[in-house]
Amino acid sequence: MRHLGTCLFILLLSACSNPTSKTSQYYGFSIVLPQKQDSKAHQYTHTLKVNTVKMSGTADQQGIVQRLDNNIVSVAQYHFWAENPRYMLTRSLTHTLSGQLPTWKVIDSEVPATPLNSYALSIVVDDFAGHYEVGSLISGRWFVYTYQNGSPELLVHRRFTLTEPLKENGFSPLVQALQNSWQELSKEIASELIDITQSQGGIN
Amino acid sequence: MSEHAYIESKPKFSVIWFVPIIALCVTIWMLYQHQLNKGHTVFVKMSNADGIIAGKTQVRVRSVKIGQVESLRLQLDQNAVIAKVQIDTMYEPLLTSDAKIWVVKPRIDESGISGMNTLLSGVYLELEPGTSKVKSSLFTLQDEPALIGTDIEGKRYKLKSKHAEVLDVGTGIYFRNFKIGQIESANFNIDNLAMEYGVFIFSPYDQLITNNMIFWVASGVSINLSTEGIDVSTGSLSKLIKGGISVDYPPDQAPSEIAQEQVSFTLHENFSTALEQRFDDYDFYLIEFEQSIRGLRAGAPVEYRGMRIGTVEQAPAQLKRNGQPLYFQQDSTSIPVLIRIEYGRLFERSAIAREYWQQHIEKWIRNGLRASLKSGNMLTGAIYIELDFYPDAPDARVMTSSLYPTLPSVSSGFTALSEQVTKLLNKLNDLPVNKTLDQLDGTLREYRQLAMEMNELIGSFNQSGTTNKVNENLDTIKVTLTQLTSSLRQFEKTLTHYQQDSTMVEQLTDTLEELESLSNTLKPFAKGLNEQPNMIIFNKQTPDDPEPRKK
Repeated sequence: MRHLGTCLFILLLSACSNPTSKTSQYYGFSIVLPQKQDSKAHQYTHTLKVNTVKMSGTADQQGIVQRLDNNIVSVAQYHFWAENPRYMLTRSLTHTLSGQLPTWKVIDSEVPATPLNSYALSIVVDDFAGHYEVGSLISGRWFVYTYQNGSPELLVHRRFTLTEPLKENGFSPLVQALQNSWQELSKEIASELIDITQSQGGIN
Repeated sequence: MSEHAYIESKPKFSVIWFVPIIALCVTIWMLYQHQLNKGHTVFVKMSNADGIIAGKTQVRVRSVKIGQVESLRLQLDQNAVIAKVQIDTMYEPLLTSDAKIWVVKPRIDESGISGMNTLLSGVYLELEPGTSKVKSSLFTLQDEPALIGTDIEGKRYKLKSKHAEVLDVGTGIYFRNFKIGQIESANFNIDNLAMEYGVFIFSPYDQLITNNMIFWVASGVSINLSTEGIDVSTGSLSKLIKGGISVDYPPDQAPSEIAQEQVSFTLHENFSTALEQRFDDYDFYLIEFEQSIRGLRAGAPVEYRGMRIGTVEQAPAQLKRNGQPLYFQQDSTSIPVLIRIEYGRLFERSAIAREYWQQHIEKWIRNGLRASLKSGNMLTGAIYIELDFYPDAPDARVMTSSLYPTLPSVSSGFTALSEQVTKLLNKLNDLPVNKTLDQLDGTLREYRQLAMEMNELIGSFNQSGTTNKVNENLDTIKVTLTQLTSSLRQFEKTLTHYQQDSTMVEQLTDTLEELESLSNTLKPFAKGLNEQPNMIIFNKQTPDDPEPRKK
């Protein structure tokens, strides 16, 4: 009888405990260390203000999103972005653009006053997810407008969809693929900006 | 061997009987003790038992508990409630027949707010022991607390009032605005139609009450209108709200001997009435007026060259002789008026004044002393009787044929006025009106000339460029206004700028961002909680995330 009681007690305790507790994982884009910069001041020809990226729809999640077969959307319960993706994407974008446009002064939306005769870039991301077929998927729109004489004027409006297959199974390769796609988009925008300024004859 | 039974005589009283006897004694002793401890039972009769709870409400003397209400019983035939009260044995001597019992509950009166502690603890009965030697076991609950405790020293007096307003029990009595006593009882005597007040004057102020004291009702506010202006004075707040009785010595009089207890005083309507009514040494006189006495009322003054010497008692005099009014029996057409000559007004020692008056009145009349009616107040039309010497008046003497001596009168008022008006009109007739009109005409002509000169002057002002100066000033104002408008615009711009980039807006934005970030962090948790409500206590049981696959 006593043994039975002990067994029941142990069973009770074991019911409460869960040896296979799952831990949450947090992900972020890999940080590119800043390159050695010239100490002398640059002679900037243009100013670009990068607004904070807007995440809309299913992209606005803290958990990593995957589009699965049969139109199933999975939001991860154990794999999260370490910060809200909009800040991560904005920072990465600003960093890449600064590298791609050396004669441009790239400022973010935290800068309080918008300088006169400057360009502004806004991106809206609709999809920022893994995809069961194409690997990673980023889609959305971006706009470039100028502040001429104080009022905004739309210059370019583009839609984009970028995919990249994963190199390995798992979340880390997915994050890496997303980062690559995002950098690719940033480079495309940079080249578009150069084209715009050349076609406009530049705004100083 | 002979054997025989030994018979022991049985004791008549068995020891075993001590047991019930002792038990009985103990019981009797216990009953006695119980009765002793139970205390003395008294009954309190009350109109209703509002707030009194059987078994809880206490009876106290000076806030010390001496007993408790045991039960309450309705006495339907007497419309009353009888409360059975147990008083502790040691306090039995307090239950004298003149003891007073009242309920202590929150009260607001002129002395302030009392009994607030009973709001939470409930009401209690306060007993004030009396001085009687007779004990009583039935008391009647008093509506109001006993005002004056038996241990408070002082003297009781009576006040009678025929005119004064009805005053409440507890109203203060003030000697030069200092409270020296209060009304203890107030009754309306239907025999003499007067209010009778019992007043208590606290010791040592009872030494102030002398036989020549005057009492009058003091309203809270006294307004005195004189040639020096209006003087408004008020007493203490309680006096202002409830009024009070003022007591003082008559002006210019020293206190006489101290009044005995239970002496009755008259309570006057106000101070001036109090002063008037104390002239109790007087004689009645009749005055016959051969004119209208409209406006003459009882109480109007009788003056000699402005000095008051008496009062009108009846106007007209309602005197009867042989069952008929006096004026029916007169041959003349005059109207009799009854007046009082108050000797106390002539001199403070009225006996001397009376002697002086009575000795000389005949002589004065012979020398032309006559009564006449004079207008006292133009607004109300009130008139008074003035005595003065009229040397031209026809001869007369004091008539004693009537009930009272009759003083002669001369016509005055309208009769006298009409004569004066005629004189005035004659004077007006004699005035040099035509001459005055000529002068007025000349003056008007001069004014006209002056007006024309003024006109010219204004014209010259216009020509000398005053208008231009005004125009210049207007231009300056215009410029100033333009500057003001531009300043306002700048201010508006600054304000907009400030609003966009102000620290407050920045802080608000930061806070919102933080909130947003928090909500993002909480989103997965909320989702997990939704799927597994016991997630907080137990581990998350949701299935693994699907792993991203390489194609």
